[in-house]
Amino acid sequence: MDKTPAPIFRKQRPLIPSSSVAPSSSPAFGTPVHPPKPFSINAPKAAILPIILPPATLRPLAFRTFTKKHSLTLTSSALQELASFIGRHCGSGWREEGLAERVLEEVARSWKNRNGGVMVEGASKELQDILKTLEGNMSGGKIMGQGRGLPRGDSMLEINDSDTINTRLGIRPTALPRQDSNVSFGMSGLGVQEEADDDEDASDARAWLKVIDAYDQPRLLYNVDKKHFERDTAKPSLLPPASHKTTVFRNRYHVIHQRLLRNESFQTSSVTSSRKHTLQRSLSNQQSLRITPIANLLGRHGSNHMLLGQLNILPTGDLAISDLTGTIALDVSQAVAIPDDSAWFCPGMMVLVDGVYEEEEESVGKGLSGSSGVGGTLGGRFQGFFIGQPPCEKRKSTLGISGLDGTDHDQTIGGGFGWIDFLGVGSERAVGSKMRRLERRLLQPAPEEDMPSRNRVVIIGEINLDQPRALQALRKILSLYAAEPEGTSPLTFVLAGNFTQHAVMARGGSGGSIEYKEYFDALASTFSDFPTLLQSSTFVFVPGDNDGWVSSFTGGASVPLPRKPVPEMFTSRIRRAFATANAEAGNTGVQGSAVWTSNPSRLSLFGPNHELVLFRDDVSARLRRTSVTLKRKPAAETDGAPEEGSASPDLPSASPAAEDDAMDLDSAAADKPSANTSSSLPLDVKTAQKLVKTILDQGYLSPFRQSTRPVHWDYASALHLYPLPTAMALIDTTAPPFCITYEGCHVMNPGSILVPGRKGVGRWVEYEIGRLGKLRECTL
Amino acid sequence: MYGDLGIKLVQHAKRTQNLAHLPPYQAELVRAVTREVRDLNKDVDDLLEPFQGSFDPAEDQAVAYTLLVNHISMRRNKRCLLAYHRTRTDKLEELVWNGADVIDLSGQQVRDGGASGSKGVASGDGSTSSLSPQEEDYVRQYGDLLAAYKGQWTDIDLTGSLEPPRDLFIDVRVLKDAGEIQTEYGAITLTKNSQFYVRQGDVERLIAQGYLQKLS
Amino acid sequence: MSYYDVDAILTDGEKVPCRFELDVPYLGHLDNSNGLKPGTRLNLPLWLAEMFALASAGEDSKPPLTLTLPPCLSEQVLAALKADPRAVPLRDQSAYFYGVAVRMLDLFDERELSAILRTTFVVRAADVGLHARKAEESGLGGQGEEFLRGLDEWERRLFRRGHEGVKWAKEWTDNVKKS
Repeated sequence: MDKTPAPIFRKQRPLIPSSSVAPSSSPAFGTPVHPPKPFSINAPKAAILPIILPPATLRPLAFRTFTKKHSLTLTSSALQELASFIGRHCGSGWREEGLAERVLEEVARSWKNRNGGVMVEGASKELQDILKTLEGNMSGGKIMGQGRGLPRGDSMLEINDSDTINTRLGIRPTALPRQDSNVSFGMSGLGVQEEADDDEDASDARAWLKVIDAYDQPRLLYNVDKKHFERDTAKPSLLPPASHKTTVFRNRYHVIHQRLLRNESFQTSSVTSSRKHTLQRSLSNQQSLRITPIANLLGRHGSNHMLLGQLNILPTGDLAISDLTGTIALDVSQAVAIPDDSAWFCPGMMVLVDGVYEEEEESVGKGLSGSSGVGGTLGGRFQGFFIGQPPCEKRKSTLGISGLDGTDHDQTIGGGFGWIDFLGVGSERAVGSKMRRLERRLLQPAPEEDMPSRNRVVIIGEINLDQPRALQALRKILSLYAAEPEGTSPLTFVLAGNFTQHAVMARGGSGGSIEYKEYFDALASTFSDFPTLLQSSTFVFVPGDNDGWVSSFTGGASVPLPRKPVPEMFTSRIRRAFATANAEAGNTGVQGSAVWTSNPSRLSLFGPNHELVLFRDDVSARLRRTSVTLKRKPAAETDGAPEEGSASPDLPSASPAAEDDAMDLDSAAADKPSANTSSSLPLDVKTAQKLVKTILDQGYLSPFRQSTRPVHWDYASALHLYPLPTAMALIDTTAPPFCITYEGCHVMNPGSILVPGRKGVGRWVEYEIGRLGKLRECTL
Repeated sequence: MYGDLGIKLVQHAKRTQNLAHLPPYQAELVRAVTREVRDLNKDVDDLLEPFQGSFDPAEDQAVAYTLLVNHISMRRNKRCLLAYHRTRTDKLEELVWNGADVIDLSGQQVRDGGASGSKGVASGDGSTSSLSPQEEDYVRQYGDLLAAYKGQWTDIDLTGSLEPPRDLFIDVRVLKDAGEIQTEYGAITLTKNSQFYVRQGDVERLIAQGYLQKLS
Repeated sequence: MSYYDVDAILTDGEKVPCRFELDVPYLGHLDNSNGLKPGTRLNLPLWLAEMFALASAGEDSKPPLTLTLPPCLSEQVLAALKADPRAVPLRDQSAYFYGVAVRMLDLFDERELSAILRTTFVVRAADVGLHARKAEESGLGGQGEEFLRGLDEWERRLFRRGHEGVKWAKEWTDNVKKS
């Protein structure tokens, strides 16, 4: 039976080669196969009549491609799958037009890219994935898309003249960018669709925006031997065995430790050591510093050491420092922060302490205080003189990107973690440059300074839905953005909780579940007034401590992190509002959507290019409450009186009883330097700087004790800030609003949406992606 | 002494030449050598800074000799690095020509026992492989290149054995269970310890991959 | 002896004694002192020493460094080699004996040295070949093993080649015999 479709069923192909051969409408004639064009623009999808292709017919061809060329072995099931696929999608022209060859070539290459193994099984998931992806790209029996990899496969089979000029011996043309040789037809393991011009989705930058829930983030553990991050394959649970708690500590320690050792000051180099012998030059004055493990302190009374460890509280209430080898009681009443007054120090943080080890005089121990020297706690005391945060590492150094921005000669040889996929969106080395190109193409910055542009993220701080003014403020802000010209609305709106003033469902002032739903319904009605924004932007909702189911048993206290998103039950109307708005617009592109995410969570734009961490937590208040008191500065001339009066306890205390002193003194101390030294920074900025430096240096979103801010042990890796994100939205109502860049990471805090103390003013942050954030205000 | 790290690297390279498989990539050592080069360079810059571009070797011989030493050391380190990588890539190319797959190569890891055993192979984290990620990429691309080269003439197997076969059909025994597989002209079922009398061209690849054993 | 050749790089790493003629204060790290006074003796690796020795600054053609022959090529060793090349374990002198010697010959012009080395190599190579063939059979004898242990890199390579050649030939003849 003649399987060729009648001419009436075949659409004319508009792309006619420049050859003089008149295209015939019947495929049985020798219509030459055009060498596929690299950019297929709006090719109509020709209809292909599927045929039934018996595997035996396909076998020789498949064998040649798979086994002889790629050294893969085909099983019968795989052959069956391929045969049915090719029959379905290539139609009758599979042999003559070389369609089957290309499909087989593509499948073989994709299989190899996914490391499928030498045996190609029909039932394997990878094969199904490959076929599915391929299916989406088939049209008219041919594989549409980039065709970048095509010349390679093709020129092997049909050596056309034009091709031989470019491809000698079938080697791919040198014009091809190197990294794409793995990505045949633009389909890689990521399922990334590249530059399909006929696909409107890809022209919207929002297609590349991904909100990564903390529970979905890949859990990586640092392996000290291999010096690499490895995925933790065990299934995570909210109630893991106790050994996981140790793993959290060890992981944090290892990450900070390896980061520290890569810092310039801790490295020994034969060059610098040689210079020490010469008298003249001061090339490298810095001696290399060395960390002593705590267990090695034993027996070295009076010696000077530098320790890296976690501050924690002994059962007796004294402060101690512990690293992987042991614990020792720590006395910081004489310690000075390096640099001065630049960061907070709380129990639970990893710090560097420089000081002297003092052994105990009497061996009759104080027993419980832990200085009896058994069970990992060393006897004696470590007298600290200098305390500091472990130095931070720029994102570029961690990933080992070099020369990206041109000259970066003073950059340290980085950690080389560029191949690790931290967020599940592709690693920097693998897809970084491709993503950068995409970004340049899709997301141009505004041509002028004040013109609104697409590449903005609007971050709105705490919106208490039970305060009517908050809704008013939100409405005002949204209307501001809705009034902007079309196509320039921001990419994303981030709305942060707490969505109620008091803990919901905890018999507090904010009501129970019914009221909670009503609040969100009110929010939904506010949204439905701005359909344009709903269609073109992504709304991300980050919950706070007072939200969701968790609040019903924590009653507003610190919730274990990471915490799950606001339950779906309450947000149905908002989702409906979005659906209505999008349905009305009939948009075929990426639709606007509402994403309910965990706290903390990450926003990844264009893969590893931009990582925006979203975190809603009153960190500053907690830092102030739990901070360790350090040495008082020697009282300056006039303002000696105030802080002398408030009795500073001799013992370093982290108990809540002394938190008032700590807070007042710190603010007083903060005032003093601005009077004494020539620093003219306003208090707000200093506070902000202190907060940012602390959090980023620690590389951890919640460097506190488990009793102050619990962290789920299995999900602790979601809280790591290593490598440093490109930007962070640290929404903290107890800190002044700021937008600060530190070590390449831009941290923003919009505060709460209603400015406290000023009536009728709403405040938020507008972040231009890749650049800076801007605090904005509006009047209601 | 300046060249010491480099020598260590080259000793690793020498060992690689004599082994059948590829030992793990010495990332730390490579980084240390690179760091040394960078430090030497910084030293040179610092030395030359006071002169502002007009440096006369005859005038200040001490500085000149120091510069020379630094320069030669940098060249030495560069040579060591390049030789190390070159030996490894030569070995990799040899392995690819002999039919090793990327998976096999990166699967030659030092398997730590027990818990992490089922971590899966080369999951993209590049964690425990004996190849660096760049080397994996290299192997992949080289494999593709080789496949393209071979694909031009599928009648002959360019990576096959150089020994002429004695018979058209040979006796083979199956070593591993693999289900039913397809050969050029038919299908054979591979169950362990079964024997077949098959065409040599079909099964050459499978013998090389370890699924079949030739009986002579 | 190419740029990438591993053996060449390792050969260059061998140390040779040098003597500094000039004062070079910044290179104190080379012998852990504060500066180098003229006349200091040091053991520097070949790659460094060679460059240095060939360097000359300006019109003043006095090089900062003078090289002397390494101890593995000293009078004693040469005398022993003249007497009986086979009895000297070259590896104990230096693993890259011939390599270093060739480099030295590039730098200096020593007729006698080259003559001695040539005869040494030829005589030892004959022995190496003999051992390579005989290695198949058991019972090398104590002296044979000692000799093999004393081979330097070049001779070792030669030995390996010879040994493999014999082995493959044997395999091939066995194969042919079988079928």
